[in-house]
Amino acid sequence: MIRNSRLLVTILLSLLAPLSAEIEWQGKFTHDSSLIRKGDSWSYSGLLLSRVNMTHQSETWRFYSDFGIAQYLGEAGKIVPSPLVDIKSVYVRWTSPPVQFSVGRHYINLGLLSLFNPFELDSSLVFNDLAGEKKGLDGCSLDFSPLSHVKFRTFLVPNSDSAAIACGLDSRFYFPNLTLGMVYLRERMDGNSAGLYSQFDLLLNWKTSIAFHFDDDANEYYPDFSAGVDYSFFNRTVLFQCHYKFEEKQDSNPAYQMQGVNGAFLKGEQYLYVQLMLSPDEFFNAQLDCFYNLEDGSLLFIPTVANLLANGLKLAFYCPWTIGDESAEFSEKNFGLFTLNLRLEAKI
Amino acid sequence: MGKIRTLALSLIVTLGLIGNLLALTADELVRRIDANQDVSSQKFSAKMVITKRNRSLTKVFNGVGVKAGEKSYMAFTNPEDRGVKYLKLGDELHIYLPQAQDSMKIAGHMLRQGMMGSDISYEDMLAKDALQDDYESAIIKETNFMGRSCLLLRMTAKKPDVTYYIREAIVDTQWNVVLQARLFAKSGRLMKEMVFEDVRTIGNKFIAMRMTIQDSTKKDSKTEIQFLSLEVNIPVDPTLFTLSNLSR
Repeated sequence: MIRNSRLLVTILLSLLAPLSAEIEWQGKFTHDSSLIRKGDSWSYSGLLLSRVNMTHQSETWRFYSDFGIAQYLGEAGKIVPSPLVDIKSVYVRWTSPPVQFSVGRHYINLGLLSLFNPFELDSSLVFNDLAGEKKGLDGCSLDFSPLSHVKFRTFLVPNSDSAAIACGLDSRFYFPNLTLGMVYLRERMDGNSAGLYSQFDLLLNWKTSIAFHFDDDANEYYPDFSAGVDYSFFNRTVLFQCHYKFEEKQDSNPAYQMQGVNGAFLKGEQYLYVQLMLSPDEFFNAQLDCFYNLEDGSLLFIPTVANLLANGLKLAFYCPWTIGDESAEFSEKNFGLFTLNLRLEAKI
Repeated sequence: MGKIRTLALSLIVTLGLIGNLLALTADELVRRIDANQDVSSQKFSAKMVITKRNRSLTKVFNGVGVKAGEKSYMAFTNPEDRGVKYLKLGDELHIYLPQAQDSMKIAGHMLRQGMMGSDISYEDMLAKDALQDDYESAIIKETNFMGRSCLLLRMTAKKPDVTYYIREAIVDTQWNVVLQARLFAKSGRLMKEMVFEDVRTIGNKFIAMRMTIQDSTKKDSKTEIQFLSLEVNIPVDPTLFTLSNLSR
């Protein structure tokens, strides 16, 4: 898989050479500093991340790449070898409405854009960067929108663990105040999912998804359900959202993996996620994210304060802390009692 | 005698001119405003400056629209928002989020939010440009605004589901352009104030190239939009207004 990725990247980059004069460059620099308290001791981890995006676009073709060089510092530097070259995406996209075809490493999403999406292909979750970009998958995808209120998406991704190919189909229909979708997904051998999702307005904005995960013989199957609401108050300065997730069987299912930290999370059956966001203007933002494991009663709070210092320059401070027994998922043992984090982000 | 005659003639001419002005009905004025705004297509690049207290944020975007704004496409190019795109299809508004590489329909309470943090809400973007269909109008008085001879127009919604129930507009009667608008809720509360400046002739239309919007429900908040370039009634590729193009 790694060898194939390098070959893919090499091929796509070689296409770039004759177009070098017409490439649009963008950059992003992030500096994360974390102080983690475990017991009576403090430890420091840091991350310096430089990302470069290259885009070349013609009328029907688009080439896009997102490269990053990461340097982990402190305790994280002992776990993750640095510097680390990270290729989040590099793909070629051909668009001729109503068809769009993409090949290369790109993020492929089926179902709704929401936190607990049972059809999500990439189950990694970064608790201190929930809205961050995810790494793409090496494969191809096809979007077909024959009408303004209909969209079909299908994809093929070689599976890194076996010779099998992951594939899926998402059919989405837009109605006034209602979006409905149907998904079939095959991630690996004995790893199939099928279900429905919807987004609708009924006083609040609702998002629901229900999926059944089953093996190739359809002998074993289990449900995966998520439902969420969001609404804004006080002249749209306060946003509240709440999501519930239930997934019956987790043992054989790839659990959510926290990026850069050993261990897997959200392995339980039931979770509640709540977010309260205060945005009086475009410059200042304060939010509280909370994950609640309904089985062991443990909580993870992530309060964040962010300030846009200037065009493209943002400073954020967040302080996750846990409440839970030593054996619980959101515990001091796994996360530290609390963490002080500072993030400086610049875009050019 | 000669002086009296001259004075009388001047008075008659002036009264006649005023009479002509007042003879213009409110419906006719609104019809002229709508006709001036009615373009088959438009293509533009613009800069939006959002000011809150003493701080400002600049966003740059390009856009294309057809059928008097019934279909429109907009893409942001400033570093903070690069890749974010909007597609309006009638009453539906879709947003493309580059970090997710997917689009979603903006619905419900999110429509009332300011677009990209500005004082223009998504609902404002979805509103029809033609006023005649949704409002009953009355001319209140003559007035002068920025040195221009204008009429003050008061419009009341015919249906309860429009975003702003009452609109007051100061209209330049030569250009048939609204120079100032004040938008009220049904309760009478002032919601937004807009000023339109730098009116230019583009094609055979008079178009304000700069507008300032103040959200009266927020303190010390205003948004200024300056068109950097604008073309109207030009051929436009219809495939621009598709979901495929949104994620191009």
